[in-house]
Amino acid sequence: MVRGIYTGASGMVDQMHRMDAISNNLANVDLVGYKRDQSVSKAFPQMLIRRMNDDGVYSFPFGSADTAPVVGMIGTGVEYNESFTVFSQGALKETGNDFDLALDGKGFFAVDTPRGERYTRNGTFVLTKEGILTTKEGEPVLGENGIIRIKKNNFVVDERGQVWQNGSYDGDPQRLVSKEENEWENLELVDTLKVVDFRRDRYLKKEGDSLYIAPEEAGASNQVALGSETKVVQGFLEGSNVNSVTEMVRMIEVNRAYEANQKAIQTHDALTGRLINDAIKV
Amino acid sequence: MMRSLWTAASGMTGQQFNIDTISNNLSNVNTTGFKKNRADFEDLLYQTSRVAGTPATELTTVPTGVQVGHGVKVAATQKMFTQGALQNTGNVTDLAIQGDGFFRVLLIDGSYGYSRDGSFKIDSNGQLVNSNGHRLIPEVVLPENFERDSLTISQDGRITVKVAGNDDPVQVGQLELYRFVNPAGLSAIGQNNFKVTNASGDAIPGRPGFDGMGQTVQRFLEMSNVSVVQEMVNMIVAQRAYELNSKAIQTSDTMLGIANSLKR
Repeated sequence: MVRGIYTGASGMVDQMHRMDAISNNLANVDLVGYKRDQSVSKAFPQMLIRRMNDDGVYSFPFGSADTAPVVGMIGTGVEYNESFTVFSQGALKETGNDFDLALDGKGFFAVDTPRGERYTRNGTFVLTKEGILTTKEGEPVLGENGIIRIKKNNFVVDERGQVWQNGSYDGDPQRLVSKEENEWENLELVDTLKVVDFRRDRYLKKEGDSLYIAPEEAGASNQVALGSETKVVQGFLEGSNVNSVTEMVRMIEVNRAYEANQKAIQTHDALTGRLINDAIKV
Repeated sequence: MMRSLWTAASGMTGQQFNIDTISNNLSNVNTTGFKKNRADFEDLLYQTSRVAGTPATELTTVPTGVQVGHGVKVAATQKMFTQGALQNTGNVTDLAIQGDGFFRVLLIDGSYGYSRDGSFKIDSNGQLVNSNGHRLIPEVVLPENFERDSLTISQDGRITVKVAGNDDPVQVGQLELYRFVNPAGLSAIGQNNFKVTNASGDAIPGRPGFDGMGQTVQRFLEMSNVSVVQEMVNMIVAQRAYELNSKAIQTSDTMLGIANSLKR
């Protein structure tokens, strides 16, 4: 059959995949620490078109020559190749909540889940009744020495990710402290937040719940130098890096490209129809 | 059908929930001791249609995967226990907590409710009760024929009154406040009360002004900690996000229409 019909269909399928990705970006436009997905399409292999029934040998009185039997290259359509996560920085917004942490720069907070270590940029953390800092799903946030035990109003996270507490109030979890009476006279280092990065972060896979899995291809995780290239900011959250304007424009583009591909299919269909019904009158 | 339809629908549902939370905050902007809520979101599952690292040919592997997300969900509504502004009411039985801590009242079902609302009244038995008649625990019983204007509650919660015909004030009770390891885990049950949950941890009692408890301030009430400006901005953001998602649904619908008109 006419090749163009399949080429057009591949274009429509690809635009549909792009639309799925844009939709997901828009649905998460307000999600803390969300990183947008960028769709990448690739062309199907091109192929050489040769004239049919032509051996390419042209004879003339002085001999023979190969006279360009190749018509040219033809593409055979498009394929959805990749959804690529763009890890650009989102805007920081102040919340005033001590448990909210944002990363300004590269890197991910490490989270200990029952399924293994996961990584996140979503710093809306909470405290359990045992005094462990966790994500909203109750999975502990990791420091360099494991889980982090702190007390409300008795911890400060500096921009180097170090968690400090007033040692005078350490110990009994039932003995709480207020902001006003905490004079920070006996500073103790609790732990340093484990903020890691990957050499090939494009291999990181989204798992849902704002978590990323690091497959083998991403390479080993390495601790980010906190304070210089990446800062931890307490009392702030990172907004998503979805730009609604560009997503809108992409959506229009997708819509029109989809329509154009449909027109291509319809044209092919019309041409075939004319061939069958008009060109040859039986 | 197109995934994007449902993905965008999840976005609209999420923003609707966000607006629900914001309007509840705004409607309680004048509620004594109200603490604002914040809706927190998580992204939904991802569908992997091609796994990175699988062999493509004998010698090469697929370098990048294809993953598509399925939208957004509400993960939690978090109470923000920041201090509200104190308002002078001049009423002797009005109490505000400057700092952390909750009052405890006995609910009808025999369980305890915890509250920041300190607009107490004196009932016919001479007991301190809240606006719904729930008794303050530990109980405070005022003696008969006490002078109402002489009721004094100190910053550390000592309650003294003068009885008619006697110039010396007598101490009639001691207020206690309660704190939690994780107050964000408390569950709001309405009528300005919170209940203990597994996440909040048990109530830790203490005297006002000691062990991290806030001080009690008489003749003041704590206003809600809702900032109208912030909520308005949140509302605009939520509305626009809702609109964006509806546009995504419209686009998906147009595309389906185009696909449908393929066959004439």
